[in-house]
Amino acid sequence: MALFRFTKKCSAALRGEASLLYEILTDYDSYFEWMPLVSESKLLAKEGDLAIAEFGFSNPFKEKVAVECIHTKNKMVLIRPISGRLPVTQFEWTIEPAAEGHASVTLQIEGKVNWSRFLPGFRPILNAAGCLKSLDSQLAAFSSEFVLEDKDGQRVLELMETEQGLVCWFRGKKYLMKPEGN
Amino acid sequence: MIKAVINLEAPREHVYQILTDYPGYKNWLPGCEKCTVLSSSGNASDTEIVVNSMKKMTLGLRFEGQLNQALNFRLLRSKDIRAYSGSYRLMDSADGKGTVVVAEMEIDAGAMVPKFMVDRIAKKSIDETGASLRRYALKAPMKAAAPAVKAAAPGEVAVKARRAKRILYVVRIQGGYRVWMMGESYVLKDKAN
Repeated sequence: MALFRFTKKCSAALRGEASLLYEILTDYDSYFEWMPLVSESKLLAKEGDLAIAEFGFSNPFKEKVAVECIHTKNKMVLIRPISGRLPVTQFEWTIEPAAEGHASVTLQIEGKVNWSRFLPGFRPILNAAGCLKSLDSQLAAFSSEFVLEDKDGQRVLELMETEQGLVCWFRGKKYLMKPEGN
Repeated sequence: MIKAVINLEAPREHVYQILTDYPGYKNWLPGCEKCTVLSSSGNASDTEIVVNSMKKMTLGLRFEGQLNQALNFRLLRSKDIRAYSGSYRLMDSADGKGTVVVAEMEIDAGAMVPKFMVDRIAKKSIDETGASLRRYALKAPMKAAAPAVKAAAPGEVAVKARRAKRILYVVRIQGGYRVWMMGESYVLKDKAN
C-alpha cells in the first residue's frame, strides 16, 4: 500500500572514514548525543550483526521505543522500531567510501502516513538532511583532523574526553584533568 | 508480524528452560489452561494447548528449539484460527544482568476478523506474555543443565573502548574567536569590532 507510506532520502559526503561513521552509527548508547529528538539511548543486546536498543524520545511523544538494528560492517545500518508510536518504519544508513578520508552517507527514512506525521514536533526525526547534519557534527567530535572554517586561525583551547580523563590543550600545553576524588 | 522486546532478569539458560517446559505453560502463559506434549523428536515437540482468553481454543502447535538461542512455533491444527506462528529469540543483555527476548507473532484468524483487530489483540497478548514471563522467570527455580552458551555474569561485561571525543575547540581568528562546542559553531567578536 504505497499510498500510505512515505520515503525521505538524503545523501552527503562527510569528512570521515567509513569505519568511524559505522562506529558512530552502531554506538547505540550514544544516539542521544546527536540524533534529533532522541533524549535517551541504551544498547539492550548485541549479537553478530543484530542489536536491540531502546531510544527515549523527547516531545512530542515522550516514550521509549525498542528498536532492532541490523548492520553490515562499514556499509549499512538499518534501524527498525519494534514498539511505540514513532511514525517511522525504518532508518537505513548506507555508507560508501568516497575520496580519501571521506565517505558518502545516504539516509533513507521510511514510514507510514498517519496523523502524527504532521505534528511539527516530529519534523526533526523525519528530516533526513537534518539527521545527516547531526551525524556530521558528531563525526567532527571524533575526527583527528578537525579544522574550523578559518584555517589560519590559531588553536587557543581544545578539550577532549578520553578514557584517561579530560585532556585539555591550552596555549600549546597539554593538561590532564581527572574527576575530583580519584 | 507483531514484535516485542522482553527484558528479563534471568540467565538465558533459565529463560530457555521456561520456554521449552511446555506442560509448565499453564503456570505463566496468560489464558493457558493446559499444554500437553503429544510427541517429541530432537528439538521439535508437537503439543496440544488449551487457551481460554476471549474464547476457549484448542491449538495443535509444533515447537522447534535451538538450545539457549531461539524457540520457533507454528500452528499444526485448529478449528478457530487459520494460521499462527512466531518465535522467541534469546540474547544476553548488554549490561550482563539477564536476557533480552525478541518475541515475534503472526496470526491469521480468517476472513471474518479484520487484520487490524487481530494485530491489536496479538499486540496485547504478546505484551501480557512478556510481563508474565518476566514475573515467572524471577520466581521459578532453575533446573540444573549444562549451558551451551555462556551468559555473561553481572559485572563481566566487556568494557567498550571509546575513542577520544572532542568537546570544545577554540581558535583565535582575526577580530575574535571561533568556538566549536558539542557540534555547534559560534563566533565571538572582539568588543571593538
